Amino acid sequence: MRKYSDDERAVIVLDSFVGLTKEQKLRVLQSVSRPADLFGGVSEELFGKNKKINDSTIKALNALLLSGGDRQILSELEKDGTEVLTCISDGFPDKLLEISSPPMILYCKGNIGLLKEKYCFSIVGSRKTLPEVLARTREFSERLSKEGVVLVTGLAEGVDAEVIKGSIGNSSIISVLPCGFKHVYPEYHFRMFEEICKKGLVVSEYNPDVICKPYFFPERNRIIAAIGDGVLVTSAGKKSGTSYTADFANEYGKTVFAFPYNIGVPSGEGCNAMIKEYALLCDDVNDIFFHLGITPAKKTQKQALTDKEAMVFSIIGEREIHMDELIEKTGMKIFELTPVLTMLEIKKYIVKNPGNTFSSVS
Amino acid sequence: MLAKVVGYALNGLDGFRVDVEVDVHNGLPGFDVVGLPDLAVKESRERVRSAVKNSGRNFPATKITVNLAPAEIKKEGAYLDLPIAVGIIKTSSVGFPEDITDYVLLGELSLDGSLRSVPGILPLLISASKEGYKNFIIPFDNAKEASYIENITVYAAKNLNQVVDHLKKIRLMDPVEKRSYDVDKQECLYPVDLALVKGQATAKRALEIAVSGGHNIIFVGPPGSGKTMLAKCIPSIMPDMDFEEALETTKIHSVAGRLNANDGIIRMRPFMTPHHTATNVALVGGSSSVKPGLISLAHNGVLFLDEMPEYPRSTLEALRQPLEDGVITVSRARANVSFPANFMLCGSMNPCPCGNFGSKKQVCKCTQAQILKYKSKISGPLLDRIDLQVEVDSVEYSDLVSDRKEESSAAVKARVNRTRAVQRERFKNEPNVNTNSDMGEKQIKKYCKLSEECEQILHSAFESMSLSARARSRIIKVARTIADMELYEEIQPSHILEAVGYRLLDKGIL
Repeated sequence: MRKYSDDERAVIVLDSFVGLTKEQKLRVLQSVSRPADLFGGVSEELFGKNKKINDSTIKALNALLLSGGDRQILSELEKDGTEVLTCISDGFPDKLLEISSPPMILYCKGNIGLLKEKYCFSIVGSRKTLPEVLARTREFSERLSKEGVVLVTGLAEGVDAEVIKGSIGNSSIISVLPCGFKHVYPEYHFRMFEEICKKGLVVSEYNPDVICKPYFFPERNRIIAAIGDGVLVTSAGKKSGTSYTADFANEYGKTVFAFPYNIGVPSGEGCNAMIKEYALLCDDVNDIFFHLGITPAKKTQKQALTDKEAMVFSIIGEREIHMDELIEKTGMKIFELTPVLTMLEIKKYIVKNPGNTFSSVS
Repeated sequence: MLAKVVGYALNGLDGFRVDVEVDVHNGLPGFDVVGLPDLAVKESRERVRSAVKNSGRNFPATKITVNLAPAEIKKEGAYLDLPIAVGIIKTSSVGFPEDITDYVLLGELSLDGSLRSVPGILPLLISASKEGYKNFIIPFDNAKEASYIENITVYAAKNLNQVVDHLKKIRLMDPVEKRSYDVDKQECLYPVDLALVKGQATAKRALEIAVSGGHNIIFVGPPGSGKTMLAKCIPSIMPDMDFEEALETTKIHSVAGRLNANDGIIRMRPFMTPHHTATNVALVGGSSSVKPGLISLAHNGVLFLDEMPEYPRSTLEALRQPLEDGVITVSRARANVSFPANFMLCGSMNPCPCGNFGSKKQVCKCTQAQILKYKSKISGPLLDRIDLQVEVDSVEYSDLVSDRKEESSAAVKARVNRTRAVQRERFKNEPNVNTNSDMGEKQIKKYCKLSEECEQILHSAFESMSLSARARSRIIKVARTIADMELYEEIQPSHILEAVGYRLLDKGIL
């Protein structure tokens, strides 16, 4: 575990103090000449004239600063395996300092070196979407991470989870949480969280003890948008939180890509709206490679199909198709058709959707 | 004066002999029943008194003591009305043979002296005939049920006087005509037929596989997609019950008092649908007078659990052991009884609490956490025992009215019979294994050898579909059944591939 300088320790202690809002903490930091001065105690003037601060709050903060409370905080973080980057630390990503409201501190767990990798790219999307979109997201993530692109995303189910599953094998994933590490949200992804800690990197701007609140999500999204060199939105509904990420990225001058959708697909209305305004249409992973300036290795060929499989695959075509319709069109019996469909699924040519329908992914 | 009559009482699915001893002696008039009678037996005093009087016979105005031996076992039900009444008449009238204990008498008395039917006649008669009794007098309404037992003579009486006259040999009754159980001749009229289910090719195919191999099955689909209808078709495609099976099933239904006078023997495979508010005891059996539960009533038939996640966890878990063993042992302080419970489990559930997940028309409003919670109500070990997990999708209106010809249950049943025969042949040397679903690890190794190619396909399926490891043996068993349906000696790759398609809940599509 690395040694923290006095300045860093002061920022960590200030962040751990629960009595002040984020704005007040930033204000305090800006009022002192160097953060280590805080260890000499704080006074009311530091908060500015208009801000009324409780005497008891100041007393409590002083008590924490003067009594050497930093030692306990740091030892707890160390025990937990959490590393801290403050906005004045050396390793703090410049990309984050360039945005309008940079985070004061980043709690990190895992391979912190990922933040310095050359290629970082964010992929985000809604939690509920079409199965073929999930399959495609997975495929994109696999291919991007194989070429050394570090992917940045959240920890939710749906698109986030597919990005993680696709890239964790190549150990190039950064997951940004909207909560402290002791209260991972969503809870049922705790295993996944631990896995990423081992193979990738988990980042949060919130103290480990902080419990997730709804308004943390947009705050978190600005970090996802800032770390990536661009954002791909694979799925977004009309009022999707994903559009925050895209809006932030656009604001920060990053390129936003989005998957195109048919008219009337609810989980794609947001994507189409972005394309109308500022996003680039992305229907091929090479679009992203081109943007990043990477020449990817040749795409690995999918397994070849037998004649029967090719016939069924050609009938499935572009449109989602129901089992009963397939039986009618192929003229095959159900027990002949099922094995072919399963094989196509194994070879990753098609996906099965809920409702006994199938759609192609390539 | 002392009289001795033989009766029988029920303990679980077996009867035990009860010696009814009636003693009439001097003293203040009174009527006592001793020997651990339950309330129904104690109340028989009043029924017997009125029945004897209203039959025009003399009820002795002295002290009457009735002893029911053996004294340490509690006797339940009203079977013993008739032996008690006959015993009392015998002590106070002439013309009876010295010994009438070669007859077993059973029946409940009505106040006017007529005999009412009682539950459990079939198991009582079977137990008694095993102990060597040949002559029986039972209520007329129970005659049909008794007519299938061989090597015994059964007389069905309508009232007490007929019984007395028969025993005194004044007017002999005709014995009940014997019937034989002919599997082919029976007419099973199931209320539903597969031909009525339109479309749903996947679900129907899965249903046929399930019945062919005796596998348990669960349907997942939105409300109104026909899950219940499909489940109701299962008995109509199951092989007909042979006599042994029919007798066993009838025994249980007889004990539960669910047999009516016209039934005689149960030919149709039972189909039980407990509501999800059913208590554990109602389902597995029990209560103070150890009675068979619904899972035993579903013996040799189907237990259909509609909306499976709505059942309390403990109820579902209680099914695990009987699913494995085909028998449920109900233990109470007073009794310890085993009931057969070899049923096919068919479940249904929605894909999520609101039911619209995956629907094309409606939007699902459930959160992922809610869906996970809903699905996790069916525990892993229970899911392990459900070999086929199939999706049923909502039906289009045009499908419902289309006149496309669908296969009838009879056609499917013929194929099922053929597949079952293949399995009987294979497992003839394996005790306790009748169908592919009964196979344990040992039998899987022996009878389900996989070729190199099959192994490889299975391996890649596991990898690309992220199946859980416990699904493996289930997939192989189902593949074995599919191979049997097509009369293949060895499992082919296509069989494995099809079987993989029926592990929906392992795959996590929903």
